[in-house]
Amino acid sequence: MKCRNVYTRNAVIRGLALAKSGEEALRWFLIMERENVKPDEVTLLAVLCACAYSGMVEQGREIFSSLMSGKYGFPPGAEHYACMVDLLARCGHLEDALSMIKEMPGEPTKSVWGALLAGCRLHGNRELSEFAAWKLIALAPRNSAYYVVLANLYGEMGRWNDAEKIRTLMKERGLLKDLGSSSVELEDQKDLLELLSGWGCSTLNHRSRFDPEHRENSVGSTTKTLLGALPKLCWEHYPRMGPYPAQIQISQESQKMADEEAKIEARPIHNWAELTQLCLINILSRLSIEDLWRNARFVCKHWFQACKDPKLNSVIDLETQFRESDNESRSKPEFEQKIDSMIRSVVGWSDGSLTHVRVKHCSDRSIALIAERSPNLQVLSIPSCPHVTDKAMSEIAFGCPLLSELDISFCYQISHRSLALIGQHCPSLRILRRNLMTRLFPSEQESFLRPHHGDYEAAAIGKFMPQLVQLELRFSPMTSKGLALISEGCVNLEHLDLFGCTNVTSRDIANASSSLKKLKTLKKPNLSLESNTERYGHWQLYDDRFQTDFFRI
Amino acid sequence: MVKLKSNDDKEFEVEEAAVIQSEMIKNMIEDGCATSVIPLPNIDSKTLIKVIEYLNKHINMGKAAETGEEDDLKEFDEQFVNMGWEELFDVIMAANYLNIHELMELCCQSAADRLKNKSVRAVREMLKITNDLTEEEEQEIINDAPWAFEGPEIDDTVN
Repeated sequence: MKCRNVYTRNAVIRGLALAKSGEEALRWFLIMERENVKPDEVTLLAVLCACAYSGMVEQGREIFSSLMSGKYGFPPGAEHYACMVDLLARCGHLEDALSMIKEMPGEPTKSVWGALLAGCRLHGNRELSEFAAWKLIALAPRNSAYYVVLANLYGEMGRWNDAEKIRTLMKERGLLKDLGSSSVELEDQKDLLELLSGWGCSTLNHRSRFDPEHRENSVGSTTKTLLGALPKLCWEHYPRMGPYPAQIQISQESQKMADEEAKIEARPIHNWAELTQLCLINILSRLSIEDLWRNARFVCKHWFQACKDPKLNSVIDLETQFRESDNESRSKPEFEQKIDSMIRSVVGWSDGSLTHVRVKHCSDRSIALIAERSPNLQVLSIPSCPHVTDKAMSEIAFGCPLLSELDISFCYQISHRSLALIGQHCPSLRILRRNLMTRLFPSEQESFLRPHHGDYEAAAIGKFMPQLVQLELRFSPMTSKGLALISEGCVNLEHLDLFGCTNVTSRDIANASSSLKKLKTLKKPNLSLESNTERYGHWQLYDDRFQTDFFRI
Repeated sequence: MVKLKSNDDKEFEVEEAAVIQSEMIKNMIEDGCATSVIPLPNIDSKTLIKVIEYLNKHINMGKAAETGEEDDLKEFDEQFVNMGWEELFDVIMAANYLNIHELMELCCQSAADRLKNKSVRAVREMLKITNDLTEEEEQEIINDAPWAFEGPEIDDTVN
């Protein structure tokens, strides 16, 4: 390698650390020092990690103390402390790890306590584990994993009451544990009893075979029996059960019964209605919106619930549905109501996660609702929504700051004011589609065909949307003035569609494209008439000859 | 080599390079919990054999791309998911439990492909799901959140 610097060294050391070649990593670290490459924070982190992964306590201590003494020109950060705690705790020097935490300046971070907890678990120090777990819960009260560790810990210590308290605490804080499967393993490893424990949201695997109440009791008592009989236990999550009696004498018979129950529990069943919600959502997420809405949600209650999951409702894209030609019924108010209901449902189910909306014919109310409830919206494509007004669009501007793509073609109640507001409040906007039609509905869009109106919109775009990459303005009535404003303001434009813009001349377009340095594609007012434009020199002369149907999109 | 034990007490030896495609077992090995046999109480031997077959085939995903064995792998995958619904269910549950991302993707995609454009009745029949929605509830779904379009015919056949 030609260029050997601190970064390449860091990469080598980190790689060796991960491969658990601690000595090799250390060798490279020393080479680095010899070559006078100054180690930085990352180097120290990597080399300490290497020591931790390979159990090289003394070397680690040595390096850390030279770091403390200022040999490398910077004091140890929280990460370095975490690494050191990890190193000490992993190798069983738990007391040293704890005093390291006490010595460190500033508050210990999650990774510091996490490192201590992992070490304590590894070396079976339950008291210190408990201490670290409580610290972690205090630092990250929303992370259910720490509660589970703590509850399991209490279980191991036989402190079932405390374990129960942790669980209640989780419930109070509205935390759910992921569905877990637990096994109680007998000493000779012959008998396995499978238990399912999900706190709050579990789909019990054998729900259909036993009613939950009975099942839980029977499993609970079986487990108790087994726990009492055998000293060596291994479990991850403990089942719901009451205080655990210190000693239970069990007879041969109850052992047999327990075995029987274990067998019943372990028998597999293939019930697709019982598939865990996570797996089901994984499958359903691969179906089209039409399949979900027309079929999947009517299969059973479980599936209906899954269809309402936010994960399946971050996108509502009806574009393909509109491709089929049934335009007549779609302009009716009943259709708009149906689209509105769909949007209302999806917005509710998405729980704020809605990112993509591609619909047509929705009302002002739907847009306002989206604006209010979808702060993560990125794409809003609502062509042909004749009833959407500036009012709802202004709410979008304020409510959806992440908007990157907007299509408000053929929406004749939306004006340049909305464009200005959205440009001001949505700095991520990259794609804008604002296509109009030629005189198909003269009454509706009459005002839009006036040149000054097109120029207002162009001015708003040029002034407030400097980040635009793609712009479609088919049949915009703007003049050379408007186009000039756009080409001055939107310098990042790569794609510009001016099809049917009859009020701009080919010279205007040439001027615009010369100032738009990044332009890749440019659709001119009408490509097939290109040769004639030169002869007439002016598009307006051609205006009268346009066949409206010819420009129909 | 890592030893896995199914819930019907059969033991299987699998190469570590293959078995670490399971996040769960990988973590266990890293934490030093895989010294003896790893019991898999959720998985029967029939399913486990399938899963191991998959793991062995996909042992060196990266290499396959280099040596142009991608097509071979693709063909294997196609053959692999060519199984009944019950078996597919077991493999999905096992893949989920063992946390084998690629296998999960493969099986869920296969399930979704089979469900594509199928009617409610067909889905229920194929997967042997009993409808527990009452007529009122169904009507409520339709009223609250109607599908706004008249769609083409849906495939009612079961296969």
